[in-house]
Amino acid sequence: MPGPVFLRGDRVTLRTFEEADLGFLAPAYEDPTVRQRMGSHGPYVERHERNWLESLDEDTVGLVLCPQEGSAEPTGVGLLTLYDIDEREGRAEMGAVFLPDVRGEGYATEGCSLLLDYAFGERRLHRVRATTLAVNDPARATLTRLGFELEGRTREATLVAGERVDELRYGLLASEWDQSETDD
Amino acid sequence: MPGPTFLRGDRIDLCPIEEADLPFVQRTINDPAVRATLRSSEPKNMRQEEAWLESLDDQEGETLLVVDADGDPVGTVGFGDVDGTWGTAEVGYSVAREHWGNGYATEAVALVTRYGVEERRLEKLVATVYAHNPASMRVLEKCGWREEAVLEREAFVDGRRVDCHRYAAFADDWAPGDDRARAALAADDDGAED
Repeated sequence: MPGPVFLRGDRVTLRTFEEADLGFLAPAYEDPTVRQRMGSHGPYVERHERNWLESLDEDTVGLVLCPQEGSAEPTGVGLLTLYDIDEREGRAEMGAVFLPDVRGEGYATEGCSLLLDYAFGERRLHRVRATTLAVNDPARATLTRLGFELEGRTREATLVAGERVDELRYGLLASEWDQSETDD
Repeated sequence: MPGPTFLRGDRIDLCPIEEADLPFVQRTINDPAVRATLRSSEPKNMRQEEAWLESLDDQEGETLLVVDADGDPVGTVGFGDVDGTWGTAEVGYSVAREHWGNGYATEAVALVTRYGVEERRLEKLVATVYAHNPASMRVLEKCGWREEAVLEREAFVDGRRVDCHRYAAFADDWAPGDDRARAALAADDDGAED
């Protein structure tokens, strides 16, 4: 079970990642197509996730996304990360993984919005980067909806189901995020 | 379950923080509303809280749990950044949102101020408060602290630079004018005779 609330939105909360959350994302990696689309090529190993949990520090933020469900106990359906936080350069990379049965609910957009508010408004970052594969349509749609610009394409960067696919790099600036906030 | 009372107040006591108190501490420090009043901008999971508790043993300051009349934790108070040569330290405090408005912070700061100057030989205590947190400035004023400077655009909160107000209490010149602060100090005096 995830820890206490760190960021609160209308439909979701982002909570601290705890020991008890180890393994909850394993189903996200079960579908080989989905897994490869996320750029993950090895088996899901809980030990690796534990190492990651132990590495969380001021340069790596990992938060569990929980839909708001009245008084029910919070249940994690995804993991949002802000990592490689470089305070001198003022930049970081954002990542997201969701369980298969909640995809398409709009949780990614709301969760990432909260994380971007945090990145720019609380951590004083200047830009946030996100990387995805050209075949990952849901991720591309979410990034575009959030206002990310496509900044680069690494051609034939990796293999998905035996086919070479491009890797796409997106970026969002603090000034653009402020702008899109006022447009709402 | 908080440890034994270390400093006795009127409606609150200050106790050492134990492992069992960490879920409360963790919930409070991560709460966006509480965090907005503190210098804390990173999520803290239980592992990190446990490491933090251990790190307190290596520090010269003190961090104590604020406990209400039912024995339940309501906040934390303490001081750090101790300079033994100068006789200075920085005081900090937080109260869980559901316990705001009860005067608990006022009692806690009064007790810690007296402890710092009378038992730890500190001569100047300072505290830094966001300009958008007048409630916290009132707490310090009630405890006999006074504003000594405005630190212009010192901090970054909610997407912009904000001023901080710096408060100070001097060992030979602090006198709480507030009933709640005085009640807390009187209670600790009585406690010696229990």
